[in-house]
Parts: sequence; C-alpha cells; structure tokens
Amino acid sequence: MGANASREAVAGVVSTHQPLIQVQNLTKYYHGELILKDISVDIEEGDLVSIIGPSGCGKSTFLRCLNGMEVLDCGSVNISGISLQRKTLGAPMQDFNTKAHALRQQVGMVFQTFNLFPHKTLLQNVMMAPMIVQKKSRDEAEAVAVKFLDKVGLKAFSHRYPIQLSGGQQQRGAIARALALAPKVMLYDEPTSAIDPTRVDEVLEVMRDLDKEGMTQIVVTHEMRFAKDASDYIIYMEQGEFVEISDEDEIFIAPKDERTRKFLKKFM
Amino acid sequence: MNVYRLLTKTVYRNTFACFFALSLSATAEAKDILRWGADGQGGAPHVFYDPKNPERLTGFEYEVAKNIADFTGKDLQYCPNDYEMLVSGLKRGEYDILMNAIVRNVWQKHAKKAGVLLSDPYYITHLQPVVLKNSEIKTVSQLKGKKIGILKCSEHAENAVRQLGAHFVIYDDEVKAYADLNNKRLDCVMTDHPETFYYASVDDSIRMLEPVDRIEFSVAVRDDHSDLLKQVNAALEHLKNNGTLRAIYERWGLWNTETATYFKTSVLPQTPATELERYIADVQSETENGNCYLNSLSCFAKAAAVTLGISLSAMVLALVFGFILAVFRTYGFRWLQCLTATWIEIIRGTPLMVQLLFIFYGLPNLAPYLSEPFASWVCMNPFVAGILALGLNYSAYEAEIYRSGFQSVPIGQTEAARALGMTHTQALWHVVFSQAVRTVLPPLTNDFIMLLQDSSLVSLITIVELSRTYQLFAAANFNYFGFGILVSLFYLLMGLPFTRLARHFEKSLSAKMQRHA
Repeated sequence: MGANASREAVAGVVSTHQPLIQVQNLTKYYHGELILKDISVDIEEGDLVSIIGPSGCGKSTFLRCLNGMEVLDCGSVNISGISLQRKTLGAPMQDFNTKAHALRQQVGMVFQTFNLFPHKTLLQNVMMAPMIVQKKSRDEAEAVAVKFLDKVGLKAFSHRYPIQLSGGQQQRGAIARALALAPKVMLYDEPTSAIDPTRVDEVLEVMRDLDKEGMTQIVVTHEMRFAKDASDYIIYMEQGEFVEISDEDEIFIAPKDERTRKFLKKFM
Repeated sequence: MNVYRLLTKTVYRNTFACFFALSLSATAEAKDILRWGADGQGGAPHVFYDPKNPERLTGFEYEVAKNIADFTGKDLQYCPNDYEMLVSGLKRGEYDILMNAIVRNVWQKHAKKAGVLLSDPYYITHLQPVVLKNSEIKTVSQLKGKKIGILKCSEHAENAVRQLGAHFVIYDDEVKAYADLNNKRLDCVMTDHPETFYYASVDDSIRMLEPVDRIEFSVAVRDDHSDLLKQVNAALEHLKNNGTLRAIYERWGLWNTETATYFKTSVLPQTPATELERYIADVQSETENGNCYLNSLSCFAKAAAVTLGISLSAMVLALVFGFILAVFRTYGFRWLQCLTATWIEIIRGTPLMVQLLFIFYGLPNLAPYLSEPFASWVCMNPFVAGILALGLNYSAYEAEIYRSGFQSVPIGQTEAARALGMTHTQALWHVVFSQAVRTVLPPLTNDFIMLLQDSSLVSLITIVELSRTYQLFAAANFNYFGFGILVSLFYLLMGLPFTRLARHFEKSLSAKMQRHA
C-alpha cells in the first residue's frame, strides 16, 4: 500500500479505482546482466495487451515475473490484491513462495511449447489442477474440464493423449487447462510460435473469444496481425525497457520511437 | 501380472517361514539345543549330505557332534557356514561349538587372539599327499620344487609344503584341486587324510604317498564358554572310554594308528567299515543313473525360495531407499545433496562382498560400546544382514537410475505444473515422478535380475541359498558339472519372468518414443 500511496501522490490524482495489474519499478538481473530495467505499468481488467520486441529483450522474463516463476530483484508486482515486492535491490522477500503460490491461482499461463502432461489424457490434464490445487471432487473437476474443453472446441478429443493431437489442438488444450482454475489474468508466452502456420488462427480465435468475455490477457507474441487486430494496446520492448506503449493503430502507423520503427519495418 | 503376484506371495510365505524358524532357534537357545557350526561343503567324510537322500546330514564329525550333544543332554542343531568364516561365526555367537577339522596344532597358536578355547583332540591323523597313478614322483622327498594343491584355511598344510621346499596353490575344495591334478596343473594334492582317503576310494586314477605331519582335530568354543569346554572334554573322555568314538571311526573306515595310540587301544578294527562301503556304493550308483539330480531337486527348490525371498526383499528396500536417496540428491538442500552424493559414491565404490561381511561380522564388534537396543541391532540375524547389505548396495545404483529418470522430464513440465498453482511437492509427485516411473522401469527390472545373481554372496554369511546348495551338492558328489547345469537352470527360470517384464517395459517405452518422433 505504501508504494501505491506514493505513486498516487506523484500522479497527483486520488482515485478509488485500482488497476487489476500494477507493476512498479520492476528490476531483474540474470547472471549479473540487467534483464528488466525499472519497468512500471498498469493494466486494467479486461484489457488484451500484446508485448512485441526482438528476441532476448526480456519479454518472457517480464511475463514470468508476473506470476512469480522468476523472482524479481527489485520493485513490485501487484495482481488483484496479491503483491510480490522488494523495496531495495536484493532485499529479503518475506513469504515469496506462499505469495507466489497464491498469485499463480489467480494467473493462468500458457507456454510456447504447450507443456501438456504427456502421461495424462487431455481431460485428465485439465482436471488435474482443480483436483490437486482446489481440492475439487473428481466429478466437479470433470464438469469444469468438460466445460472448458468445449469452450476451446476440443470436447471430442477429451480422451486423447497430447501426442495424438496437433500443435494447435495442444495449445488450445493448454489454454483450457489454465482456464480451469478460473484465473483473473491469462499470460501467454509466444503461444503460436511452435505451431504449424495453418493452425495458428484456431488458437488466436480462442484468445479473441476470451477477450470478448472480458478476460484480462497479456500476450508475448510475434503475430503482428493479431497484435494489431485484437490488442487494446501494444507494448514495444527492447533491451529490458518498455520503449513504447501505445494504441495499436498508432504504433503501426506512426511509431513514436526510432527503435520501434526499425523493428516494425521488418514485419510490415 | 498374475504370475508376478503369485510369485511374490509364495516368496513372502517362504521368507516368513525362514524368519519364523530363525526366531524359534533364537528363543530355544537358552534351553537345550547345542548349536554346532561346520561347513558341509568340505564334503565326505567330515560333514556332508547323504548323496542318496540329500535331506539327511551325515559324516563322522556329525556323529561325534551328535554324541557330544546327547552326552550333555541337548539337541544338536547344525549351523552351516563357510569354512573361512567358521571361527568368525563362532565368535559372533551363531553357534556354540565348532567342530570341523579344526587343527589343534595350528589353532593353539592363535587361540588367544582368535578368542577361542580348544578341547582335547577327538581324532588324530596326518596330511596325505597324492599324485596321479602314472606320476614319476614316488616319495615325498621328490616333491621339492613341485606344485602342491592344498585347501584354504589349512596353515598346517602350508607349513608342510614349505618344509618340503615346494610351492602351494590354494583351493576352495578338494574336488577343484583334484581336477587340476588331472589337468596336470598340479603335481600333487595334499589334504587331511580322511578327505584324501574318501576321494581316493571313488577315484582310482590317484596314488597315495607316505604320510606327512601329525594333525589333531579339536572342538572349539568361545573363550567365555569355559564351562561348555569342560562339558565337551568330559563328553569326549566318556565317548573315548566307552568305545563310541572308536566305533564311529571304524564304521567310517578311519580308525588309524595315531588315534589308536592316543586312545591307548588296539589298532585292529573290530567293526566293519559299513559307512565307507555305503558311501562308495551310493556315489557310484547315484552318478551312474542320475538319481542324485532327482533327489537334490527338493533341496534346490527350497534354496531357490530362499534366494528369491532375499532378492525380492532386498529389491523392495533398494527401490524405496533408492527413491529417497534420489529425491534428496536431486531436490534436497545443498548439504543434503552433498551428503547423499557422498553416500552413493561410498556404496558404489566398495564391493558388495566387503559391505556384506562388514555388516554381518564387522558391526557386532561395536556391540560392547553401544547401549540397548542398538547393541542388539548391530548383531543382525543373517537374513536381515543379507537383505540390508544387498538392499543398501543396490539402493545406490537405483538412486542414480531414478535421478536420470527425474532429469529426463523436461523442465517445462515442472513449470507448467507450478504455473497451475501446484506446490513444489505436488508438481514433483504428480508430474515429474509419475512420468519418470515410465523411463526407469526397464533399468530397474534389469537391476533386479542382477540382484538375483548377486544374492549368491549371502552364502558367505551362513545362509544356505541356491549357489551354496550347488557347492554342497557338487562337493558331496564330486560333480561340479551336472549340478552346475542344474543350478544355472534354477537361476535362469527365476530370472525369466523378470527378463520378460523388463522387455515388456522397454517395448512399451520405445513405442511411446516412436509416437513422439
């Protein structure tokens, strides 16, 4: 709350409204190298945010810091009232594991390589977290799993094992698996990069549908078309910094920053 | 899977029976049982299983021991042990008396250090050198510079060979020594007269030279059992005076001048050598019509159950303990990782045989310095010690198999599980371990087949299992070939279900791999 208060004071605005995700002065080192440089951003509930930028710019690390998969070195991440924070660089973090664990139940994550559990059927994959984490009964968990598999169009494939599914189907399954915990936020780490180009749209379609339902989503992506069409706004990231945050039309038509312009040139 | 279950069931019943028998013998110890340690593998005529009826123990020392037990009003219980381990077993309290060609002249020198007391002699004999019938060697003096085969643990024979200016080669049992004599690898074999005499009685290709040395056989007891020693001496005196000993030796064809002089009686036998004749007839007929194999089957089957019981119990221990080691080694705190890594290296870097002997014979040395219940824990019964040694040894290898299994699960799997809100433990259990199981099953099953064979080492700690039974029968029948094939069949048959199981796991795994590719 201390951090919030000071921020509001700086902004000179006092408001009761609090964004769903607040990131302040997020700093992360990796093997002595500065990966995230003092990043601050607010993301409102229901937004779909795309993060673009060259490889190695820190996009994935940023995403992983949001659900505590990476331990931040300084700054704070506050999602839906759960806060991971470090006031000074490397200061001790109390209850990091407990808080990160609580945070992850609010935040679903989807990986580039799907990471479905190969020894379980699709249905079992989706049922696992509700049963193990939320201690739901088998019947309850199955009802939830079937509902979300239906949502991503995979109800008919419930009893297949991951290796019997295409990349697009696996990724949709992974989205259903994350949704089964009823998260407030969904994070996607290059969700379509490992998928056959002809199957990319089926995954993006699922994400568009979720956006319509008001899900807050952050997508690290190379799909410029998707970023342009579907995002509420786009963040361009380079060398651990948010170079430009802007409305989709702005960034593609008239990027403010020279670096953004150079990057987008390769895609346009 | 049904066969597997059936096997486990039978074995547990058998292992239980073993433990039950052991605990019974332990409780009965205080009452009226005289436990007698000897090595049946030494063969005829000392202590051996009747070739015609392999369940029946016989031998002239068996008869003497039986008479000593009768005299003291106790029941005799035979405790088989490897010859090299006979004295260690006595010290360890595995049996009360040791009587098995213990040479008084040698052991008197070591008695104090070894912590044993020796009785008056019960039989006197000599070393008997033999050569092939057509050998150029006619007298002992011609043995100078030659190669002489002797038995292990026979210091008196080593000394005698040295005095003759010859070289000795040490053998486990006389059958192997005679085989080398026939192969011309040896010029002469020199063992105690009774053994040589019995071997010569069924093999006419050898010729005896004149006697060497004088050997007195004594009974040994622990040095804190001087009362028992008095009883043994009284028994021997009584049996000597009433002619029982003489009758035994005469029936076995072993009555000789040395013993007669010591007993102060006539050297002329009064009783026919019935046991000797019976033995010669049995060995010849059994070997001719192959009955010895049929008769031995029930013994081999029992021994196979012991082998399987010990192996399965040890494997369960290895699987459980190895898993714990692997988890500590991979996911533990830094100090725990170092500790388990060191432990695994120590176990893998030392021979199983050393570990086994250390646990069974070494650990009890700590007992005087420990308080109860630790003092009794370090003096384990042979089955517990055998299972523990095999289990601990294999757990180190299984731990490394598990570890490679854990590492074969991609890191993304753990990340996905954690991102789904699972705790570290839940992620390990539901995602990593349950996937690793599939990769580690084939190598673990293969290890069990190896353990089945390594279990033969427990014969070193007084357990009569399959390979020990082989040695006993081979020595008693002078036949390492036929029984070797028989015992191999037993091992093969026992290992077969597990080989099949391993192949099944491998197949299903490779099928999965192919689908991945």
